[in-house]
Amino acid sequence: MNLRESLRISWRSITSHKLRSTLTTIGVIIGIAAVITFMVLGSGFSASIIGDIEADQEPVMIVQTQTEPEGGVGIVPVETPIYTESDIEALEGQEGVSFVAPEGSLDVVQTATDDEQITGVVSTEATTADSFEHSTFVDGEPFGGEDEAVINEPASQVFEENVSTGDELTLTFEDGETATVTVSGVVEADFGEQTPPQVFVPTDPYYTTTIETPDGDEERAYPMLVVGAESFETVDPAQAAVVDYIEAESHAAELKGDDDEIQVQTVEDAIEQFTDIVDQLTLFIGAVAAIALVVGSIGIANIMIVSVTERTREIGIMKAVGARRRDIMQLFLVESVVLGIIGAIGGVALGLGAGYLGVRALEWPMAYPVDWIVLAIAVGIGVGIVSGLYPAWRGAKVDPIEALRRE
Amino acid sequence: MGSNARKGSTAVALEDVGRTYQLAEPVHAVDGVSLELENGSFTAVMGPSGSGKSTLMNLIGCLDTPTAGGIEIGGNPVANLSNAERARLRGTEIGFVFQTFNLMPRLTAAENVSLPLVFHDDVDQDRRERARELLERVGLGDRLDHVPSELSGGQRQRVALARALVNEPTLVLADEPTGNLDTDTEAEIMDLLVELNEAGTTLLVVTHERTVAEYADHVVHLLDGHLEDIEHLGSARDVTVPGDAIDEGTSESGDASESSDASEPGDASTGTESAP
Ligand SMILES: Nc1ncnc2c1ncn2[C@@H]1O[C@H](COP(=O)(O)OP(=O)(O)OP(=O)(O)O)[C@@H](O)[C@H]1O
Ligand SMILES: [Mg+2]
Repeated sequence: MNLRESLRISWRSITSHKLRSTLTTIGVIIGIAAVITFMVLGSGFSASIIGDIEADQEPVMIVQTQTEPEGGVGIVPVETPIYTESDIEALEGQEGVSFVAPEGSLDVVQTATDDEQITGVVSTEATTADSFEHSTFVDGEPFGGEDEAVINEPASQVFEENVSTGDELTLTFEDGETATVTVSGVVEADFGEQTPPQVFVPTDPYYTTTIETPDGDEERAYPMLVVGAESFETVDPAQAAVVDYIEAESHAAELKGDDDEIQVQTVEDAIEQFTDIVDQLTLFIGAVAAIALVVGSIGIANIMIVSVTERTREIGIMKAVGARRRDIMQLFLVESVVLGIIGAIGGVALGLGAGYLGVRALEWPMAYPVDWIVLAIAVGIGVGIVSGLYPAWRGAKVDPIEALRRE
Repeated sequence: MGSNARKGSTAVALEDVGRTYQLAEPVHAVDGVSLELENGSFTAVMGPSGSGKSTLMNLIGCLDTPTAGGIEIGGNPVANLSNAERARLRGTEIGFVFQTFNLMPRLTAAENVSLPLVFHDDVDQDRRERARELLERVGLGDRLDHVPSELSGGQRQRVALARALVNEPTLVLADEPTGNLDTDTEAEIMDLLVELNEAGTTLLVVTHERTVAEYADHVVHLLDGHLEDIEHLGSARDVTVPGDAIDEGTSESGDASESSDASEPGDASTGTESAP
């Protein structure tokens, strides 16, 4: 029997039980939709965040603290100020390091322009002008004095009327004090559209947090440092030098909590970490999909066994007029493969649809994971074959005379 | 075996064939039947209900396997054939008309008729055209696209006959092919069978009707699975040179039945002996 003929017969059998066929394929649809949705979201994520980071890669590294909470899952950042002025000075002297810019949050409760006030939303960071060494300015330049500030693009757009270089901002601190600063420049956001609105002011005089160093002195200390390397080539040696210093001699190493860990992360490391998370998620989604596909296969196998039983008499007739075992085998295999492909196509459609809604909500770019779509169809065919084999074999060994005796 | 097999050689040979069903009491549906059908012969099978006629047909049609004895088709012992070879035999050499029709319920008349072609058809010939031709021959040219449930019993029977003929079989096994037909339609169908027979097809037809049996050259009488008697009807066709018969077959089929009627008195002795 040729393939076209078995396709025609199988298609008729499938369409004569529309509801049953649809329900049968749901397992496969869900499994494949899960993967496709995730792939759409994953590539949207990469394109919008990792892509942005990669695009303006800088020869800088971030020094910060993190911890694994006891009994908890994952890694959380620690905001304790442990990087002292002495540490900064020492790090600046390391081989290959061009600058060390501290960064620390300020307790600013309200940010205001001349005619609008915003509470929360905008965060204010104290840092030094050096930290803008590798930043791309949309407009203006780093701050030069204590009454100047740099804002990022999201912050410039957060007010009704866009804030630009030369405009004045009034910051209200938690203790009620206020400061008025002039915007000296607008920088591109670090993490694309996901970056929160930020205002950067000089550490002097706004940052006042101090800590007692192991030497007994009271020094200003920050929760995070941005270390710039002289060039891309020196990033790796500079990173090694920074790590060495921090581990061996720094105040930070002694001030940090017992379970805390100091991380010196280049942009590349950050991307790697992102990719690691994505990979782990992929594994998880893969497992979910695999379970759904196994359930889906069992569903198809089950319905195919029902179908073989229902059509035992028809099988008998076909055998009586000359159908061979392989013809019957082929007929039912084609039917289950068609079910598998329908499931795959349905899953791809549902996955793309859900993925589209997701990326649209997150304002990420839409992606069509072609490899995965092709793979999904292949998996659909595979599921069809695997789940159809046993029922088809049962159909093939039906004894025609027994089958014809059924009424 | 091929369609060009000469008349006179053996198409089907049964050697002491038995078919026993192992129930609480063994049921001997067919018991010790020996029979030879010559190529191009026309044999009728008669016998009361339950005498094993259908069972015998199934055995010859390679659907069922004998529990005793052996069957040869075209000189080849069926027992030696593989599953696939038997399927090929059923699909290409044998045309089977079932007592219960056995049509595919979801296929149309035309699709049912062309079904055997689907399994043994390497060249993509026009199956629908072939089905139409055959359905027209059995008087159903206007029912091509009806499914069996939209056909009368007699119409279904004729679809089953058309399906049996679609592969141009050399052996036609028909289990009561006219069981549901009126006399006129019965005559038409029998004429068609006679025509095929005259073209060289070997026929084995189960019937309860004496009028149908009289188209045949021989009548096999079964009783309780035993072969009671073989009645030889000296029909006109039997002595006709095949070449002539093909030319005259169609126009003279009516006469043929009459001539077999006419010749019956000659065989009356055997005939009456076997009559119940
Ligand atoms: N599967 C079976 N199991 C047990 N006995 C069976 C089976 N099939 C047929 N028989 C018995 O075999 C005998 C012959 O049956 P068969 O169908 O050949 O009769 P038949 O001559 O065709 O009758 P009818 O004229 O009614 O069609 C019957 O007595 C029947 O009960
Ligand atoms: Mg019968």
